[in-house]
Amino acid sequence: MKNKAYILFFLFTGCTFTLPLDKAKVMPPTKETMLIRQSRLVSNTTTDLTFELDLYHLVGRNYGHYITNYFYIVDTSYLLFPTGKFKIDTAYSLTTASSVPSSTVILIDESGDYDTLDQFNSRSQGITKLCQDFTSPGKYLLGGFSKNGLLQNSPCQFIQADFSTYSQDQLPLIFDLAKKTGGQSNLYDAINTSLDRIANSGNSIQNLIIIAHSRDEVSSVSLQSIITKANVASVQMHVLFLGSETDVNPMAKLAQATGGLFVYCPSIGELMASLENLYTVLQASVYVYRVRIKYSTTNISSGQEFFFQINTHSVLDTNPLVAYVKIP
Amino acid sequence: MKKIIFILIFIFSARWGSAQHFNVGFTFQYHILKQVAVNSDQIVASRSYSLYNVIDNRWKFFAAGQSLVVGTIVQADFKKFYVGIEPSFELNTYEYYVGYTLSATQEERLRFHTLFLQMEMPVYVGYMFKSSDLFRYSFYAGVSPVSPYHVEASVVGSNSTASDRYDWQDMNNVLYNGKPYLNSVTGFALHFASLGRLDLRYVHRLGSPGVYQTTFNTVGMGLTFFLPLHLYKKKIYYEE
Repeated sequence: MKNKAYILFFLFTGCTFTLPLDKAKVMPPTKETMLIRQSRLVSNTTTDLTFELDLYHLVGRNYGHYITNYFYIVDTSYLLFPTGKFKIDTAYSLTTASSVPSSTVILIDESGDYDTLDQFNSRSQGITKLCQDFTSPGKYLLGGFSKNGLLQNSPCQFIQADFSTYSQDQLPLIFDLAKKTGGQSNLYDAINTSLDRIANSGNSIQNLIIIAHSRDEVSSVSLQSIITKANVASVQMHVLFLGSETDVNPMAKLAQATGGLFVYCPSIGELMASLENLYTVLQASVYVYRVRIKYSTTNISSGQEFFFQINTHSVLDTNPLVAYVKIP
Repeated sequence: MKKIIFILIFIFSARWGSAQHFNVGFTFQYHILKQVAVNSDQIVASRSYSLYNVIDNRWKFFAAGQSLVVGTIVQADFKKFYVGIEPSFELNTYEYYVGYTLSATQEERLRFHTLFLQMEMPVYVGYMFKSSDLFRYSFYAGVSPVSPYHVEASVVGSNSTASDRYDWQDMNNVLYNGKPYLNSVTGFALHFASLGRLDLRYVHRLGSPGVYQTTFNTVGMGLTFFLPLHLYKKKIYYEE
């Protein structure tokens, strides 16, 4: 009987094994996305201007990798706006210099609601991913902004007292932001306050990441004044805009006039792809695709601003790119 | 834990010789009243970047899962006491409901479904406190080592896209981990002579599968049939 008990016991324990957990973190569904890391004017005359765009192509997880440079913009038919003559001068891939963000404010637009843009609140997961990506010495300060909404502080309310890396006790506060939507957008006032916080942080590389879904409605400061303030303080403003195409130009200007990244997200899928890869892109640890475009028109004058919309639907089926160029 | 089980089996096997009755049979159980409770306000997802709100830790009929148990039973009677061992196979499901914040006024209700195929071996001691010509009444208590060998999980939401937005492994190390574990077992039994018994049993998982203090409670009915062997008595009869 004892032998039978031993056999039974060993048969029983022999069945045991542990089930592995696939530890690779996953995001809600993303969409193939292109973003402009930087746009810059190369040269200009009164009849033509040449500008450069640094582009990233973000591919969804179903393709097995996230950032590629396997694309070519060689056909000027992609360039839709404004009217004029376009010519692709050069297009090539290169590794850009590293610029690890070491002191970054992340601002979330809490105005209005996200009922149509992000009804399932995927953005909280994307923001969590972005925050977790920050590794020391990189630190961030996360907050939301709106006026006459549910936030307690105006123009913006931060979830931390000071810049820090991610800790798990921030997670409920990140998700709590999704409950505090309402009011009007005071984007420029919030940026103005954030620039002051960044200036006091004492770090050399400074960034401001803005996730917005509407144009500014009630700020007391102007767009141009905060661009000037950011440039004086050497702060790059990176804008992820989830919203209407009619509001996109001031957002593109906000980002690209300070050397920042800009991505227009027609849907939440592009925003998720951008949030998933944003830290990697800001680190410049991957290839960037640089394209130089010559644009010819009439009467190009000093101080003139151009918004170029580049549509890649025929080849890549991604979101439209919006590039801002200003003649000095 | 394995050492304790080993010692228990050794003691029981050594004591069979002094038993008045040695019964072998089959047991069938069905557990429909269950409770899954996570002692936290929120649950950090294991695999996605989600944060779930704990919204429902109550006992439920059927809605918290079901268990089907098919097994064998070996029972030895010592006057009013008895010792039972039930090597069994269990199909065990749990349903756990959580909330996900959508906005200031809306929350998506999600159901995490977990299915275990597992081997288990309840070992318990019973005491018969009342008897008549036909019936005996007893209560029993013991432990049940459980070894899952297959786990499935899924997440279901109010919208068909929920499985794309949340990960089915998000409750790994919260509601399950695939490692062997120990249950405590107590019950009340109604015996039909030496032919079988009907019992009501309560099973409580000892310890939690992961980072949160998680409680698993189950109440179910069991029906046991003993083979009419009485092997020990027959052996004595032939020796005499």
